[in-house]
Amino acid sequence: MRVHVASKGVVSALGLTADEHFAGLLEGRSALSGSPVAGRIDRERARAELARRAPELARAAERFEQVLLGLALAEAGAPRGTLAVVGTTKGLLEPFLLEAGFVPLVVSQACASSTQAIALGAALIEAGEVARIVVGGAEALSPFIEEGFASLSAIDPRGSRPFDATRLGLSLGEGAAILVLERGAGSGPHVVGTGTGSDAFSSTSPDPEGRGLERALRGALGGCEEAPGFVCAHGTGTEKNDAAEMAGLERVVPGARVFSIKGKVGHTLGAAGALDAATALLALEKGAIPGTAREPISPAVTKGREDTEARAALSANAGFGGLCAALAFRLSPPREAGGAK
Amino acid sequence: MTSAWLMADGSPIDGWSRLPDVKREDLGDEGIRGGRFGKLDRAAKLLALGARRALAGTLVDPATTGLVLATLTGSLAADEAFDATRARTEGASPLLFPATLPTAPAAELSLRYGLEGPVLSVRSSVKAAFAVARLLVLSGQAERVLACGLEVAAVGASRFLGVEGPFREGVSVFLVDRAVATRFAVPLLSALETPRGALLANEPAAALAAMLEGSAGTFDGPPERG
Repeated sequence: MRVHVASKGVVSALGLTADEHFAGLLEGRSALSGSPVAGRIDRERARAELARRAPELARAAERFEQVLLGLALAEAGAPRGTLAVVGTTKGLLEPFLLEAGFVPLVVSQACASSTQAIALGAALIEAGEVARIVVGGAEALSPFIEEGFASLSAIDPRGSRPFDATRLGLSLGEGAAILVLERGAGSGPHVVGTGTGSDAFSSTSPDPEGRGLERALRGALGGCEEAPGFVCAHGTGTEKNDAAEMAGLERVVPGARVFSIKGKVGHTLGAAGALDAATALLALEKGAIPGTAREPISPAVTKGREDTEARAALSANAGFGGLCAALAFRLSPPREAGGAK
Repeated sequence: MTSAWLMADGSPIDGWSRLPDVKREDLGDEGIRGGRFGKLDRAAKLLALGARRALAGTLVDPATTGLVLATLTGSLAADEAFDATRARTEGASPLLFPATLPTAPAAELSLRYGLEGPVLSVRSSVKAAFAVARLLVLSGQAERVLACGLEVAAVGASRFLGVEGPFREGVSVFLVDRAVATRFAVPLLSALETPRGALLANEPAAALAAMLEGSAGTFDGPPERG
């Protein structure tokens, strides 16, 4: 597989553009705040920014997940009239996408929803069904979602600490990310592999050995010509997820550096896979990966920002029901030596 | 063609024609991880029944089998059930929340059958599920995929969907293997009509079955009535 990533757009609690988001990550800045602690986005500011950036999208956006998706679409310069495969868990995205001029397909695979959306988009290009496609995901916080996760006692009252020995749970977040994929081998980043696997273990807990994730990672690695230098991991901060995920990662990519962004922006559920994918791409392009944990559960996990010469990377996600998906990316031609930019 | 479909056709109550309740014995236990019946909601039970009917006598290797579920209302009743618990003094129900994910009925089926391939849902018709299933098979993500449609009665369906009822509960299941995927080209773009009919995601099931029956010749008859 070799699918060109033509452009991207990112909105997270760290910023309303990809550059703001990634700069915040490299600075080690956490956008988690409030009570309960979460990665919240200022709604008035986001709506105003969308109205400034893309007035026609602002007019079509009623719900906040639609505003977030609109911001990411606008930054990516997503071409109207194309198929848009987007992931979400509880968002309502179709009416907005239709009014905005896209052909929508909304995909859910729990917290791997937008990972799967990107994988399907790449497969559609590989199969020759489309030449260009818009993929990604969006999710907004709501009392429904926050009370749901609170009922599961899944929230860390101090804020999420992924892959940290002291972790106690996740923090929720909201955001969106969009990639425009196209046929061809142009220079820049490419999707080179996709994989999906299911634990078939429990409706809420991951397989402790991370077997579904392992299947997804191995599937994605099938398209990788070189070992990935790092993984933008799911890393939610829950005891079970991080342990299971690390078990899978250590078996499949033992030499790779591992980081998670959820301690900085929160867990954005259906948008998480797209945010992680976009972050992995930004890290490849910028030559740097963010820090993750003060007391890492594995030496593979980053403590602080690290420069990287990696030309290939993975992103991986897992959700309720043990539904997992992974993506492999490669920078082509290789970035010039010189470390972080 | 390995398939099954069940559509309600009784008089609507509260805007819905409903299928009969699924009983434990309807699902059987051959090849199935038992003990979860009591934890399944109506959507998961109906999907499990459809899959059991479709797969009767067909052996599939769960390690290489996936599932694509098309549904517009699949988790709406679960949303409503969970929503009703949010005002309780003891807090919202942790038992009901996981079922509010659109993928929940599909994930439950993956647990029952041990499916280790891709398991996802799409907010579209079963024809789109078929197209995605075909794509997953042809791209090597799975050797076979169950393409399913599912609609389940929910009080707020008209408001949520922006479409007037009455609606009909239903479930349709088609097994897509490499032979089917190769033989029947259903590009995803051609399958993305927005389901607006009474059967919602299951609306194209009859046409899909007729198409497959026409060439494969093993579709076993008209839809069962609920």
